[in-house]
Amino acid sequence: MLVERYGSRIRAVLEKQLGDHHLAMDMAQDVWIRAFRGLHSFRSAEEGGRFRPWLFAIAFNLVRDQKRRRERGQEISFEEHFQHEPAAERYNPSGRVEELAAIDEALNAVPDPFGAALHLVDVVGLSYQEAGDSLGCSLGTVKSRVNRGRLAFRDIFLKLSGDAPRVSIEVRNRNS
Amino acid sequence: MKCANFEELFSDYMEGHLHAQARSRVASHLEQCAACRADYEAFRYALGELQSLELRATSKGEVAAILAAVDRAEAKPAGIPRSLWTHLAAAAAGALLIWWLWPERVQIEEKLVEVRIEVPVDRPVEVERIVEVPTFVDRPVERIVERVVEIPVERVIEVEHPLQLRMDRFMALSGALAEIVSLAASAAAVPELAALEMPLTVDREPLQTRRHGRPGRASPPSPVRVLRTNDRISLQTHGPLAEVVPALIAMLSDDDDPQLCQVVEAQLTSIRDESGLPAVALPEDNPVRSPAGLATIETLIRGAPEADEAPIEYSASSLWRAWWKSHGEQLASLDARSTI
Repeated sequence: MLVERYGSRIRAVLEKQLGDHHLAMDMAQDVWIRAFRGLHSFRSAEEGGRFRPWLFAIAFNLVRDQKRRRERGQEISFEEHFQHEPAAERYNPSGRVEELAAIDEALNAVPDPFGAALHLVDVVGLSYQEAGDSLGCSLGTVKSRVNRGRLAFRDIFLKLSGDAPRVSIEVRNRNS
Repeated sequence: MKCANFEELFSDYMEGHLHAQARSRVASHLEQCAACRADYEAFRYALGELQSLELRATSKGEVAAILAAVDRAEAKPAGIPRSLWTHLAAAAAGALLIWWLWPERVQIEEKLVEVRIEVPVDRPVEVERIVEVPTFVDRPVERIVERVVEIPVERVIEVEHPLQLRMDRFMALSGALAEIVSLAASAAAVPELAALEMPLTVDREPLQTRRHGRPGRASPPSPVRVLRTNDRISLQTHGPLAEVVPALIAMLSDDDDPQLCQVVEAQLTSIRDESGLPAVALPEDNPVRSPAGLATIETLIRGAPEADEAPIEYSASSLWRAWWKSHGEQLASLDARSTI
């Protein structure tokens, strides 16, 4: 079912955005509740609707609301430190636990908006168009963000791996 | 190609989204510049590591927690709720069920359903989406075949009773999943919606003979081919720019597909930038509708405008036609020299 297929992806996206595993788990349930309630208005595939970007857009809208509440001081965090789910539990390890941790750390270090776009396309597996629809930006913008995200990830990951690139990459935040 | 601009093209080059001329220039630069070559290899290596991440499947506990949360939110009574028919009616309006299965047989309970098995051919073809509307107690199954393709159909899916249709009867196979969101996580779980997202490679050339496995005639090669994978559009160009560019410009008049127009215009811009030829000169204050702008574009396209002719709103198609009219010969000449 859809919950089985997309549950872990929604949670992964939320944890990447919120930086907290438990908060992401709670918010994931809110995402599915809203998805269920909005199903009647969801355009069918025949009418051009696409479930994946629609579902992920719900998640990003909730994240945006959550971040706004934090900024306004309306959310009080009872956790002194946010908690990430260990990479070994989030991904299939394939015998590469240490490498997974390094990749995951580098991925989490890529700044938004590039990190969000990179995560959606290269980890969650959305197409460029789906990622753009989920994030509310154009195809050209999301492709640019993904490329810059990949460049930033390369620099960070190679530094973590002890193999810095020759050229330092300037990540310019060109918000659109 | 200057090193400073090179990294902007990494993703497009790696994913094959550059047209032939740009791809050739990038490849040439990689051969000559050791630093950029190292950067690109590091880029590919890092991206390979990133894309090796595979999210674990959603645990049963998490699925149960989500469904329980949905139940609590809706506070459904035990058994089939009164609002069920409302939900079913809404689901009927928007629900589409698509099954797309590989040749392996799916284990099912024959008393519940029969399964259609589609055997896709191992090459890009127009794909047939078998669209199934979920049945309800008093409605028969309706099957809508959107497009006929070269795929033999073996058996037919018929859902006999919605209350008996359970997704655990269907295996998730490579490239395809049949998915249902249950409105109620009770023992009488009712499948409401099924939406299938799957990778598709759709060739947008006109369909030839398409009837139950009989192959169509091969289309003549086109200077531009459009490939769609999911919602991603990529263009494949073939032949000299003197053929490719007019074909691309012609595609800009397809107002019904703005996404395609965007991709085409990006390709044209890339070709123009690679050639070093200028864009159509437009005045800054009113780039399209000012008298000077009109004079420039109109003159290029049709000759001097009539005195009482109403101003024309120029589309991307018109602007590019003006550019081609102005620089086409020059571009064709540059292209011919570069292929020698």
